[in-house]
Amino acid sequence: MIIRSISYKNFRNFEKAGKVEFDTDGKVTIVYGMNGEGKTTFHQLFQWILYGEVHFNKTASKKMYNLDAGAKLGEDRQFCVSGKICFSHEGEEYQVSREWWYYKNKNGNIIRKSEDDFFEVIKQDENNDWKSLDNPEIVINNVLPKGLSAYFFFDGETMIADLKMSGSESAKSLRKALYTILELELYEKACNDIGKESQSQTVLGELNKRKLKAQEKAKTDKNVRAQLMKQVMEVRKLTQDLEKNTNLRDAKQKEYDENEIRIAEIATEIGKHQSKKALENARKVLEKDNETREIDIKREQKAFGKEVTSNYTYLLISDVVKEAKTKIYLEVQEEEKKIIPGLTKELLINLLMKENKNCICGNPLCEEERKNIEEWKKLFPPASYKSTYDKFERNAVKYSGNYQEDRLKAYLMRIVEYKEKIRENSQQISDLDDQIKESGNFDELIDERKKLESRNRILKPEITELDKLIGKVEHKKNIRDKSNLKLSEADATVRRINSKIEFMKQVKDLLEKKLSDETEEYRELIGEAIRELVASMLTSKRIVEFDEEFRLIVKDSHGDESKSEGQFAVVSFAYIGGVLKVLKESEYLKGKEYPLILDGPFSKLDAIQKQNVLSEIPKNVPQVVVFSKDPLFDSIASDKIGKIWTIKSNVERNNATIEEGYLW
Amino acid sequence: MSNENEISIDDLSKEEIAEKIIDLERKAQRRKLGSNDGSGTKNKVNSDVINSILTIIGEGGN
Repeated sequence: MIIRSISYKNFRNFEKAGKVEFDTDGKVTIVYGMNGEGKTTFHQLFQWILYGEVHFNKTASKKMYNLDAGAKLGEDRQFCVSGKICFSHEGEEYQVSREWWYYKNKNGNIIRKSEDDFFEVIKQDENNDWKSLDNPEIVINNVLPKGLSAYFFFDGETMIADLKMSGSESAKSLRKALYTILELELYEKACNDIGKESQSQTVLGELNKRKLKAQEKAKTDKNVRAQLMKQVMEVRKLTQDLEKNTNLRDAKQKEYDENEIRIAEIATEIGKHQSKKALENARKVLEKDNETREIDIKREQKAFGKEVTSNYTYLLISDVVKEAKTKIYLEVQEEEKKIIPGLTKELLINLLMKENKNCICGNPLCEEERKNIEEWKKLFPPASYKSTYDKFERNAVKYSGNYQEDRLKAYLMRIVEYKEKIRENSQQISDLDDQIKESGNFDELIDERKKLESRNRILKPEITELDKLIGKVEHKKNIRDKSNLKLSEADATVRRINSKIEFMKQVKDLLEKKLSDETEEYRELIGEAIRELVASMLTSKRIVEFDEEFRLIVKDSHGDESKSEGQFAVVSFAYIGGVLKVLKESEYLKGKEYPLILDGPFSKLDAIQKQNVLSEIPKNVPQVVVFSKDPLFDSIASDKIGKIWTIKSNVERNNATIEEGYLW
Repeated sequence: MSNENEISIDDLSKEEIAEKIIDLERKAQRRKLGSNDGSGTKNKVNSDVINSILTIIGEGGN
């Protein structure tokens, strides 16, 4: 805040309207005035315009009007006390105006019409238009905290009194003001806004309210609660059942799978082998079948012979019939067994050919040898039953008129069929014999496989049943779970809000710690700045203590608190100078500018102290206005002096004007 | 280094929440300073801050 000008009318001593302008370029503005002429009144005009109250030597007064103006006022007439300060703050232009209205009643008493009070802060926008702001009191308090106003509008007497009254209300207001300036108030405000669970209009209070509401909701329906508990128990039981059944099913499935693996292993090990007993049984069946076939063949042969003998006797004379009979009765199998392996009928026929004179061994074939070969040849089966029968058929047709071909042929076909079957069976019996020889080692494995297969046949349906049961339990549990989720929503809300409450308590602890840390940091910085200023402004050595509540205690070298008015005056300058120095040097707070209007107790200072104060204080303050009853040309360098104003008062000291220049 | 009792809301640590709250308080302070829209009463600004804090921790509304 840099003050450009102040205007006034009817304010106490200053009846006439006036306007005082101030230097804003760092030079010191001086307002001269003799004792009682109105320096303090003019000084307090600032506070009245800004805060609507002033303290004259710690006594609040409500008579702000000019007594002459009041006396001249007619009955039922009214008049206004007004003031306006034009200032810039953080690069923007503001005007703050205040009016209080008074009227004179029938008794001649002057009464304030507070309902007509006017207070306004206007701000210039980017189009240079002035707009009225809401909450003008808050705006002003944020621009220049009321608690600190006594120090920026430096009323030396008040300041000295405050410093002497450590722990008093003024110390509290000083602390509050510093909290605002140093933005510690933000942490304090944040902690207050988080608040406590028992406080309404706080975060924790609101969370607690919502928690209680959720708790109430959770308790509201006892049946629902009871149902919830019942369902929770049911779900617990279902979960246990599910677990039990699933374990049982898994155990059975595991056993089944292991059995299958073992069965597969056994199968790989024994291949497709059957048990010895099964093989032997199969062999027996085949042997039995062969026996039956042999009997069948004999029966067919006998029937054939009988039929030929009975029906075709005239054919008996035929060699063909004889041959057919002979050959049909021939015990082929028995004869075949006598044949030397590798000897074929074709070879023998070849050897017996007339042109063939030598054997395959090279020796000549004599008659005896040819007979032997003939015998060997007879051991071979006939060319075929078909060819034999064909010959028979030709003769039968030749010699018999009622030859029944199909009937006779059927005997032969059956015999051929039986013989073929016997050969197949014999081949299978031979194969079985081979398998039976190898089958002895697999019997135990086969038994094991049979047992496993039998067990798995029991397990399979059991697993299927358990799967069905598990499915049913799962379905039931899902329904219960969904239901419980809905029912326990209120409980979940309570739990959620509880966790948020705990969280916000931790956040509050953190903010309180930050507040404490920063307060300590500023206390050290300001304390150090004050100590430096005290050391440079006071000629005698003093101990300066600056506590966490921003209270200042100055002691002499014996440890006793200072009582000297002059020293208190210097210390009070040092206090505000220290604060302003820290503000100026703080990177974070350097944007903040505050004026210093010194109605200082310069009379209490000696010449050196006065010079020290007036050279040290302006170093840290962007704007200084000094009120003085003594010429200050010796105390301030001429190039540092800006505008000079002089208060001129009437003889009665109750009406004054302020005019520019050093007018004494 | 976080300790085991550290809790967070929507992945925001208590330090981050604290910073957001201070930011809210600063903005609220500026609103009080520069409000000219006719709606910025002191109580409303306070209640806005509390509601904004509740929103940050996922408890907005209601």
